[in-house]
Amino acid sequence: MTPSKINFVDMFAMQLVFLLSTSIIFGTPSVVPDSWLVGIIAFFPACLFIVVYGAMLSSQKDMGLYQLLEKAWGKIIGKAFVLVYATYFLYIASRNIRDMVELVMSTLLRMTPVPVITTLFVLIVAYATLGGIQAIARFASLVLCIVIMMLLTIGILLMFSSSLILEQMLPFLSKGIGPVVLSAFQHSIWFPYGEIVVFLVFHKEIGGAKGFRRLTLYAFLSACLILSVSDLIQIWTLGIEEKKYSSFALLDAARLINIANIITRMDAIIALIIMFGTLLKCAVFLFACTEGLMHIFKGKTGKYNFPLALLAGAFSILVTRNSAEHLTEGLTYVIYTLHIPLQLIVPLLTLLLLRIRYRKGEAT
Amino acid sequence: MIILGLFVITVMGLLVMCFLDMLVFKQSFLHVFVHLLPIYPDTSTIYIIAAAFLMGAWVDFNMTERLKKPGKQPNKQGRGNNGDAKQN
Amino acid sequence: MNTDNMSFAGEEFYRLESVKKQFSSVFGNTADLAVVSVDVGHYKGLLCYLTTMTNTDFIIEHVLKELTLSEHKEPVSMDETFHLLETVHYAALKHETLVDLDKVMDKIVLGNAAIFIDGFPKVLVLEVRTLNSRSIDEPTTQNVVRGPKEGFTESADTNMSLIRRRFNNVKLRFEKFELGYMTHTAVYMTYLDGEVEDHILKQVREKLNGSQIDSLFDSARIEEMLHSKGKGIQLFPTVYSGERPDAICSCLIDKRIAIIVDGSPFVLVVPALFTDFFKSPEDEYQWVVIGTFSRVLRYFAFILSLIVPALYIAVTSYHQELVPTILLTSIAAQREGIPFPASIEILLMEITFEILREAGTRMPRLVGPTISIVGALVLGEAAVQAGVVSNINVIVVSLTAISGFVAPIYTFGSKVRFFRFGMIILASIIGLYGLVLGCAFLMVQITRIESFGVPYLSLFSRWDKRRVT
Repeated sequence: MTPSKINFVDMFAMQLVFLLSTSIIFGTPSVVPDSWLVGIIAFFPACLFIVVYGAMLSSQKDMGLYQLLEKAWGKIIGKAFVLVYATYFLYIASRNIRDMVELVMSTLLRMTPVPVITTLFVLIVAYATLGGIQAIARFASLVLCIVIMMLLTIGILLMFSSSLILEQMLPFLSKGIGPVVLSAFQHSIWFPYGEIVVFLVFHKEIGGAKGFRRLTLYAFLSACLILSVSDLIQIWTLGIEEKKYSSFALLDAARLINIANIITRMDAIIALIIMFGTLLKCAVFLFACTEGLMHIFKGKTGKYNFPLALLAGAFSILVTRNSAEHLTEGLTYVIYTLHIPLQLIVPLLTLLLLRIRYRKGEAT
Repeated sequence: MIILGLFVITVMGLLVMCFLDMLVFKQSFLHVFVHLLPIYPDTSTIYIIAAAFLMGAWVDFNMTERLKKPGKQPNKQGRGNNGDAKQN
Repeated sequence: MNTDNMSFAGEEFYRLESVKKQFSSVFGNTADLAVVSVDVGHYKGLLCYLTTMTNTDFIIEHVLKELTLSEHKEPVSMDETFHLLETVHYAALKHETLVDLDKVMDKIVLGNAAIFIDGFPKVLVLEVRTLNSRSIDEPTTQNVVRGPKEGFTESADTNMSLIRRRFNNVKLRFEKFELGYMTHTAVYMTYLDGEVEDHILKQVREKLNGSQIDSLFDSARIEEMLHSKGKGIQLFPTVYSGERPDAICSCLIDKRIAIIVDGSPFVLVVPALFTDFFKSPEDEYQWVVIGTFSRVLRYFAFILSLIVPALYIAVTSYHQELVPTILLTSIAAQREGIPFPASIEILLMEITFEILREAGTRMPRLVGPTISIVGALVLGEAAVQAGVVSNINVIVVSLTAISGFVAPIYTFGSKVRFFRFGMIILASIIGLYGLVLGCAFLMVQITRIESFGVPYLSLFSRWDKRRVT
């Protein structure tokens, strides 16, 4: 019987589920053929994040994102940036909640009022965050098992219902490699890979710079692999054209499962399983947001969680007027106005400032 | 302080959403802001936000303690016999 | 204390008359107190004990025979007599020498006999406790087909010997505590010294020492006390209780702490993990594949007993499109003419089953079979024929009921039943979504619990031993 300590595998599971949860259901959000290649290509630039974030963590000892910001930018501007990040995390969490609600509404519950669905969901998210990051990580390892089992089951069942047609992935690279690479840079590296920035907040639990680099590299590799396989499965079942224009491609693929007229409608079950992933992702974001607010406004641990979760729920209703807006906003505007500045530019500037202000050796 | 934090982050969140809506719909800030406020047509979000602030206020003003105070003292029965549980 | 006694050089000499008086003032007129005047060698003495804590044969055989010091013809001094008694005659019995009369009385209550010598300051206290207890039987709750058939009894001494004889190891410790300021029940903390984490030991000691209960008749009271109270409610049991010595010993090997309570055949183990509640000792005595299979089966049954009724309700009342068409028509045909909606139907039968189960356990053994006849025939068969519930409903309820009893530990199974009702209610309000939310809540709950600092459920902990931060 060993008491709880930080568990490498659990943390890895948390990052992996975090990367998979929403992107697996929305597929690689791109309107190009050969979208499975996008995932693989996006992996390489995404490793840049690991380099930048790893350098940030290793530049100062025992400092997370919020402390680093304050150290680099000074008290006032640093706090402003912390607030911006907290808002950003809350905003992403509410977008994810909205994604999940859209999914559940379109597959299962057409009559239940949205506020009810959202409120119940965010309450559980808040409850999950109360236990701290280690409890979230243990929960993630449970979810990871479920998600991987689900993917395997889908693959096998699709095979048995003879829906996997390998020729559907042809023509291969019909428009050349250009659009694929472009799409990788436009979407995939910011979402899901870039969102890993949130883990900078949990520097201690993740094991400092060294642990972060190792964990994230493994997580990126596995996520890239799983996402590509899932994209391939979708293309093999749906064909290139249908995959391009379907909003929930994995669900559409799963809908084709039919074994002896008994195992049908797997899509509903998948939608429910995706809920677990979203729950985890929102919990991570919410926890990061509470940490940020606690950094600025002080207060006891566990007091911000429930109100903030409710706020995220309310925002998820307000965030967009309809799902069309939700998609365009998410795929273009959020990337250019929020993801790129906060995932790349601000960390890069912070790193630069830290390097200039505190040279190695005379640090602290 | 929790309620202040909540308020700040609510305002920030609303601003971010306004800003994005401005970009998407290419409308003026005021127009978008009015559209965003959870007053019409669906009022349920206002209740959710109110509940959040209520929770924050509850913790901030220590309501649990305050409600308890006029009541009876916590039960101290058995405290005196504490020493009886001895270890051999 | 007793001012009648002659005081000399700081020590008090006991006068038999005053001792008798004191005994009658403390113990009153209780019928089982024996205060017998005896001859100790050449001096007058007094033998005091409770007849209910020993038996007369034992007293005659082991105490009275030795008391006269028959082989010593010439008189010896009082000190000498006392010393002889202590080292020669009662060397085999567990004994100690006391001075304080209050302590002597406490000892007598615990089943010791005290020997006073007139005009001597020390008292010899002998352990003469011989209690009739149930013989070692097969345990009633954790049954196995293959494996040892011994079970713990109500006597802590027997239980300790059951553990000790499996553990011929000098490191095994039994630490004694007394709990309950009215009953002074003996509680033993058992562990392997050097193996158990110190901070867990410390926490358990603190909890046992800091208890403020008045009485302790079963280990369940302690179980409640040890149940880790983190933030918020904790729905899953974090204390394992077993009736089988082999199960407890394998827990001890696992670096855990067992707690034996005198008077309870259930021995507790902390910290307990989620997986422990699905282990039966038998798994280890079988071919590993069969053991694993039955363990997986238990997990499966646990999940079944949690969600099946809720799933049935959600699917039949909200998401008919999820059911394969043939099955849906068959269910619909059966439900035709049933007056209740699915949720009420399920709740009705679940509550009926709970009543049956409760009656079945509380009933005198002789009338037991009646219950099964009434349950099976009247409530199952007749309810369906009368058109109150549908056939599929009876199948669902009985499947869940049977799965609920698969859990090898009774306390765990009984908690699952409550979750099931929660799930049923959630599913009848918001369908599958509610069911999934309920499952998510339980998953979060399981992963949040830490039992004495050990995570309750950690899937990958076994592969990650090296990393400590």
